[in-house]
Amino acid sequence: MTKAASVVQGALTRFLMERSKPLILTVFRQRQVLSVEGDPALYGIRNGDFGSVLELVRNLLVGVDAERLTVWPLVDIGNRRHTSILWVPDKPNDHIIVTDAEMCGEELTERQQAANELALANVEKSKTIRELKAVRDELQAKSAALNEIHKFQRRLIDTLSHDLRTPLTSISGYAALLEPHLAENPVTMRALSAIQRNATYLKNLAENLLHLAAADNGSAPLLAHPFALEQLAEDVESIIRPMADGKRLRLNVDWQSTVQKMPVFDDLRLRQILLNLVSNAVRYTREGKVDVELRYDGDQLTLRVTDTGIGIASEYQDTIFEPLNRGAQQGCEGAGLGLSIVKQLVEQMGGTIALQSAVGVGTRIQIVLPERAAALEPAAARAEPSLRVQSERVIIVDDDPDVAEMLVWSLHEIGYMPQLIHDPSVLLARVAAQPPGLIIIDVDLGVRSGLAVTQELRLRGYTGSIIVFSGANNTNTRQAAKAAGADAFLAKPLDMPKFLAWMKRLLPGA
Amino acid sequence: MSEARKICLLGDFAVGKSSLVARFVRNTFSDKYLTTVGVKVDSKEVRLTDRAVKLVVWDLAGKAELDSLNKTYIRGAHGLMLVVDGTREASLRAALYLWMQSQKQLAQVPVVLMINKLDMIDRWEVSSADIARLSESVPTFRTSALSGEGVEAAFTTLAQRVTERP
Ligand SMILES: Nc1nc2c(ncn2[C@@H]2O[C@H](COP(=O)(O)OP(=O)(O)O)[C@@H](O)[C@H]2O)c(=O)[nH]1
Ligand SMILES: [Mg+2]
Repeated sequence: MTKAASVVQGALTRFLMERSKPLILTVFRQRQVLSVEGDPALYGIRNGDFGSVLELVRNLLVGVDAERLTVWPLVDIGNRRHTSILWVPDKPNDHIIVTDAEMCGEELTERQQAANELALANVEKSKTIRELKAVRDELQAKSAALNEIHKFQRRLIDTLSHDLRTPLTSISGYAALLEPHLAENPVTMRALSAIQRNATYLKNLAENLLHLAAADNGSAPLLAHPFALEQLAEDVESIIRPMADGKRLRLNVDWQSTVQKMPVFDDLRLRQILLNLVSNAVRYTREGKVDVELRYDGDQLTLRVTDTGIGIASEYQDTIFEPLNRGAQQGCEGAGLGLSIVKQLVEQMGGTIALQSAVGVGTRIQIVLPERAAALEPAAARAEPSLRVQSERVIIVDDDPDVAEMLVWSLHEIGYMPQLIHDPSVLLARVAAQPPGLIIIDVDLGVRSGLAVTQELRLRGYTGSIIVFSGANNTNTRQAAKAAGADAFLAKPLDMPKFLAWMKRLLPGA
Repeated sequence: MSEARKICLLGDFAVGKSSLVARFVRNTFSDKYLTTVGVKVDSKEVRLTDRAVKLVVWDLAGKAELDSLNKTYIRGAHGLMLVVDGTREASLRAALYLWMQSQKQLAQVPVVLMINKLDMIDRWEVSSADIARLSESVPTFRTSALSGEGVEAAFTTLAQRVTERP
């Protein structure tokens, strides 16, 4: 028993000594090493320099009773080397035992490091997710708010431009009707031309606003048709002439084609480009002239507008085509929307703009547009209006009394006695009983779309002429009008000369 | 020879205990994270207005609660330094819990609280309202082991407190 016990004890001692590689120091007053057992080098101690071990032990003993045996397991002695340290007080000298805890330390370190890093990564991850969520929520809220504002603005622009057109039709229409009656009096003539000029500015503004609102919905596709260059030149001149005359400016509109064939472009947009450029030129020219040149060579169309106006300082020439630029406040041309819309349209049509300008001398803007096959849609050749007049009767269908009355009055002027109808069902009954030669119908009727009424008229076999007019001057409505069976489409505000030209075409003896 | 005082750093893992010691004792900083295993003991002489004191700083392995090993280590401590990572709200709760646990074993010893990682203040979760409330009951310092801000002040304050005691 005792023998076995002593054998066991011996084995255990050897085993523990081997594993723990103890360094046993006998020390005097924690400051001086008297004897050493074991290998100091194992614990990084060289040349008998025990200073740091003694210092460590003195530190460890702070706050504890140095008269008692104390153990400090897993002490990092530097370089992440782990030991267990025993303090064995004795008389006359004390002992320090340093044992190797590396086996245990190393494994612990690895495990703990991995666990802590994982935990940290999780903390970071959930934090990042939280932050991302917050950012996302914020962005969503912001974008929803912006969307609301955007929608509202679009509706506002849409409504505004729409509502501008109807009264403008009355203003310019009545003004045109007054002209022959007031021609003798220079004062009233001047006043009338000022009314005309400003109505034209406003019309153009309404056009531009509507274009902006529409462009927001993704710009509409280009619709190219063959068209007469001469017609475009005349159109633009007829609109701008009163403005130029009112300011006593010379206006020169010149067109030239070096080939026989008709140019194929989206003429609605060409018109918009030219109107913006020319009305701008007139607006910012105090004296002198405005020259408009249209050139077609079979491949490209060149539009050139030259004025003797106030010019654009070089520092504004880069921004003059930006929307709402500040050029005009500085006395330069180009404020507002016009030029930015020109730029947008020209880009859409694959063309280029060149600007030459000098302050006090004038400005020249030249636009070159390629006739691109790619931009062409199946050319819906403009159907020439058929002159299927069966009687001299004209019916006007419009629920806006001002516009309706103006139309009635202008037809009086050319010798017709039109009938005014507000209700489409009354119209259908009348037409069935006695078909008129011409029906002029508004698209935006309160109860029913003028387009639907037009279609129904055609389905019922009505063969007289139909003119559809609308505040929505876009290619869609134009096409829809044609598709419904209208002979002509006119945009509000009505361009009186154009309207009367159509009257002449569609009515005998007008 | 100046008197020596034992102080222990308590706080959740990776709040910056080892980094604060490195800044305080050696004026260094490393952004590499090396977990502390067991304990690392350092010391530094601190000069107060009327005397010098040798602070023996025990940097314990960070845990959210006091394990038996750490209970052995904190025996005889004269003061405690609670360390919180300002960017981790949970580390504040851990520090307060460790403090409570240590009180079972230590008599009322002076305590100083460090809200660390001040250089990352824009990512802090610990609110200034919380800090204001805490500083009513314990000296509280906003610190950065990275920049060194507040570190000296926190250790000096604790040195002061642990030497005032009889
Ligand atoms: N930015 C920044 N990082 C710190 C600061 N203190 C510590 N760290 C980092 O936080 C991590 C954990 O630090 P450590 O001192 O090991 O934390 P311990 O586990 O509490 O000892 C390491 O990557 C450090 O570099 C600090 O004040 N600012
Ligand atoms: Mg550490």
